[in-house]
Amino acid sequence: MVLEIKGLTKSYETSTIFQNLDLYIEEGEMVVLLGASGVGKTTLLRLIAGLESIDEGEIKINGELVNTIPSSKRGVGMMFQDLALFPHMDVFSNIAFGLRTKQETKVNIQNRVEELLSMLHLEGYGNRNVNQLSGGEMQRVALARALAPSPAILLLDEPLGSLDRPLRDTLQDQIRFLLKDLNITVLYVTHDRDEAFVVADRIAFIDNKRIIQIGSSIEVYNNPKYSSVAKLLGFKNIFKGTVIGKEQDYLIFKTQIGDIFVKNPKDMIIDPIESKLYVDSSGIEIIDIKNSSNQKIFIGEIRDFRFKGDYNEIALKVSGGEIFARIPINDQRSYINRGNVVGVKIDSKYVRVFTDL
Amino acid sequence: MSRRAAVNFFVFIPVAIFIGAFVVYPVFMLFFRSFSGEFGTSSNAIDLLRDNNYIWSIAWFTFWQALLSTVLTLIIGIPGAYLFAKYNFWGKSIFRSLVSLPFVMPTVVIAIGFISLFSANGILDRVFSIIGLDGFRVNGVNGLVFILLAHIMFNYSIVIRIVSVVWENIDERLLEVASILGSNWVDTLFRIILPILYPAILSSAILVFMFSFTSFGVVLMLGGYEYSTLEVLIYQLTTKMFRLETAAVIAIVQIVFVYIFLYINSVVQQKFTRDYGLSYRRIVKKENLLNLKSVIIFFSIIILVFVMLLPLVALVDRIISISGTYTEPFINLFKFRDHSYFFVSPWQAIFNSLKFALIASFISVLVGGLASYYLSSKRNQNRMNLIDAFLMLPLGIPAVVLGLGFLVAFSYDPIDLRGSWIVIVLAHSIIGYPFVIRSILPIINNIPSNLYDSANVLGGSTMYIFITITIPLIWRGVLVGTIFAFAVSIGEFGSSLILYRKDLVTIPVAIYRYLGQPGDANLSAGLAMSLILATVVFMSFILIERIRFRGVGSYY
Repeated sequence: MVLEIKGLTKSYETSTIFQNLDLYIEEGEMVVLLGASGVGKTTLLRLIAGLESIDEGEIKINGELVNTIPSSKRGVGMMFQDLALFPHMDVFSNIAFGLRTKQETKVNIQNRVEELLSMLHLEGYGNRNVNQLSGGEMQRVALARALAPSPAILLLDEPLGSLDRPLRDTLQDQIRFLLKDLNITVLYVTHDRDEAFVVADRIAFIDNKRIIQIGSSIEVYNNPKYSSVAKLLGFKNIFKGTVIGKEQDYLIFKTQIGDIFVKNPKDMIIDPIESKLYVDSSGIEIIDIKNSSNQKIFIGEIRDFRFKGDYNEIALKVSGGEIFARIPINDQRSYINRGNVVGVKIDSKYVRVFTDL
Repeated sequence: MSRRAAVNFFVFIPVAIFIGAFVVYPVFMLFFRSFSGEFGTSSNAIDLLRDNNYIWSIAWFTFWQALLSTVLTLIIGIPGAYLFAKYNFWGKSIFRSLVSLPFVMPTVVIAIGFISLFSANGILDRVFSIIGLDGFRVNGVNGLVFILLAHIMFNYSIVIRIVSVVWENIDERLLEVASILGSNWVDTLFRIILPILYPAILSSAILVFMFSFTSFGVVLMLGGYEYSTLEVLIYQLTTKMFRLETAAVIAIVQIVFVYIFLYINSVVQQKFTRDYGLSYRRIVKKENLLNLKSVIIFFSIIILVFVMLLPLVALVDRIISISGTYTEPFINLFKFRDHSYFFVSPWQAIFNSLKFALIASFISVLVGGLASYYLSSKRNQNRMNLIDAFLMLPLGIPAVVLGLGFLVAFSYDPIDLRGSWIVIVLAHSIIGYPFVIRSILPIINNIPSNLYDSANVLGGSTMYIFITITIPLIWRGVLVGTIFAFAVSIGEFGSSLILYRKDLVTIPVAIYRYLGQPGDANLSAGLAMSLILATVVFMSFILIERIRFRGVGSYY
C-alpha cells in the first residue's frame, strides 16, 4: 500500500472540510479524485503533500506515518493546476531542482534530466526559457519536474485544467501511457468525468467531507451509490421524492414532476422522509398524446433537441420541472417536433432510488 | 491626417519647444561652452580634469559614499520590504506612507533635522544622559555618519516600494513546489526568492546609488569642510570660485554618469518584465497578527518608522527646547529685522517660494498634461516609448547641474535672464513636469479604449468625448500632478541656490543662509522656517496619498 489515509479530519476556522476520510491506494495505481468544486480536492492533495497539517487521523506513505514530517521530506511529487514553473530558471534547471536539493552528482542530474526530456518529447528544450513555451510544453515540463526525484506518489491537481479540449485529449492519453509505463502511483484531481474515465484505474468520489464511493469507471458508472456520484458522472433526470404509497410490486414516489412508480426491489432501503430518484433516459419513452389514454403518463412540451453523436437528447418541459429523453438520430415520428406537446412514459425498470444519507 | 493625429501634432509643438529651449539647449550650451574655451581659459575640458587631484579625490569620495549608502540602505531596506510584503497588520498603509515621507521632504529639512537630532542637548543627547551615558558626545559625530544616515532615511522607501511589490507577488506555490521537491528554507531563499527579487533589488540599488551619487543639500549642510560630492563641488566652483569652465566639465561628467545608471536601470527593468511573463493567477499568503512572531514584527516596524522619522521629530523638539515655546520662534521669525548685507527677509522668502511654486506648478501641469495627452496616443508605441524616455530626461539631471546649465545658457544673448525670477521658475517647472506625466499618463493609459470606441459609436465629437469621458477620469491624476509639482518646487534647493539673487531667495535657500550665520536668532529662524516648509510639504504629501489612485503611478 503506497498511500493509506485513515480517519482524516481537517477543519478551518469556520468549516470542516474532511471528517473521518479514508483512502487507500495500491502501488502503481492511478486513482482519480472526482468532486464538485469546493469540496476540498486540492486541499486533500495539500494535506498529503504536507503543505497543510491535518487535525486528526493518519497519513502513511509506503507504510511510514508522515503526519509530522515536513513536505520537503515526504518524498511526494506534486503538479499544481497553474504549474508554478520557476520563472527565473530554464527548463533544465526547473526539472533538476528536486535533484539538486538531494545533492545528486552533476552527472546523475544531467542523465536524469536528459532521460525525462526525451521521455516527455522535450529533447533539446533544456536551455529554453520557461516563459517561451507553449501551454502543452509547460505542462510537460511541470510533469518532468515532479517526476525527476522519483516520488513515491505523484499528486496531480487538475494538470490539464488550463488547456483547450483537443490538447487535453492528447495529453491525458500521453500522461496515462507514460505514468503506466513508469508504474507510478498517482492521485489525480479533476472535475471532468471524461478525463477521469480516460485516466483512472479507480475513481474516488469526494462529497460530504469524505470519500463516498470508489471503484473502477465501469463499476461506478453502472452502480452509482449516491445521487451526488450520479450528478458528477453527468446523469440527468434526478428528482427528489417521498414514498406515498404502494401498488402491487411498486412503490409510488411523489416528486416535483408528479408520481413516479418504482419496482420495489427487496434489498432497497428506502428513506421514509425523502429519497432521490434517477430516471435513466433510455427508460423514457415519448408517445403521441392523441393515441393514448394512459393515466400514468406525463404531459411534456418538447423544448429542444441536442445532438449527442449516437443519439439525440430531447429536453422536455413537464409540469414542475424538466426531463431528458433520448431518441435515435433518424427518428421519423412526425409528432416529435420542437414546441409539440407529447406524452412521456417512464419505464419503472429504469428508475433507481439512491440511498443518500 | 486623422483628427487625433492633427490634435496630437498641435499638442506636441508647445511641449517640443519648451523641452528644446529649457532642457536641450542648456545642456547643449554646457557642452559647447565647456569645450570651446569661452570662459576665458585656454585649457580645454580634458586637461582640466587630468592632473587635478582635488577633483579626483572628491569624485572618489562621491563614488564610495554612494556605494556605502546603497549597501546600508539595502541592508536595512530588504528586511523592511519583507515585513511590508508578507505581513498584514493594523495601520500598514499608514506606515507605508510614512516611510515615504522623508523621500518627498526637502533636503534642507532633513539636514536641519539631523543637526537638531545630534545637537548638544538635542533628543539623543538627553536620552544618553538619562541612561547615564553623559560622556557620549553625540554632537561630535562625524559628518560622514550624518550623510550616510540621511541617505538611508531618504532612500529607504525606494527599496521598500520597489522590492516589496515584487516580494508580495511571488506566487506562494513556487515556494510550495520547492518544498515538495525537498528544499529547506535556506535553499528556497537563495534559489527561489532572492533570484526572483534580484532585478528589483538591483533596480532599487541603482536608484539609491544615483540619488546618493548626486546628493547635494545633505552633503552641503552636513558634510562640513571635510566631505564634498561632485554636486557640491560644482556649486562651489560656480558660486564661490567662479570657475564655470571646470564646473561645466564636471557637470557634463555627472550627466553622463547619471544616464549610464538610468540606462542600466531600464535594461534591468526590461529583463525584469520578461522574467515575469508567466501569466498565471498568483496566490499570495499573508500572515496576520496572531502569534508572538507577528507581534514582534509589528513593533519592529513601528520602531523602524519612528527611527526613520526621528530627525523630523527632533526638528520640532529643537524649536521648543531652544526657546521654551512653540510660538516664540515664529513670532521672532516675522519680527526679524536686520540690515546687514547677508540679511534674508523671511516674508520675502515665503512670498517668493509661494509665487514660484504656483507659477512653476502651473507650467509643469501645462507641459506635463499636454505631453501625457500626446503620449497616450496608441499609435506607434515604440516611438511613444522613446519620446516618453526623452521627456523623462530632466529626472536624471541633478538640480545643481540644471541650475548651472541655466546659468550658462541664459546669461548671454540671445536669452539673457540673469537675475530674473523667470529662470528659477523655469528650472522648477523642468524638475516638476516629469512627476506630472507620471501622475497623469498611467491613468490615461488605464482608460479602456473601448470606452472611447463606444463614445465614438454613440456619436460623440472629439471635444465632447474629452470633456465627458477623459476629464472626469483623469482629474485626480491632474490634481496629484499639480500638488506634486508644487511640493517639488517649494522644496527645491540645488538649482535655486545657484540661480537666486538677493531678492529671489526661496524658503530652502533662506534656511541654508540662516544656518550659515552665527547666533541663536538665526538658528531659531532657520528651524521655524524648516517647520513651515515641512508642514507645507507634509500636507501636500497627505493630499497626494489621499487623492491618488492606489497602485496607479508612483514617485520613481
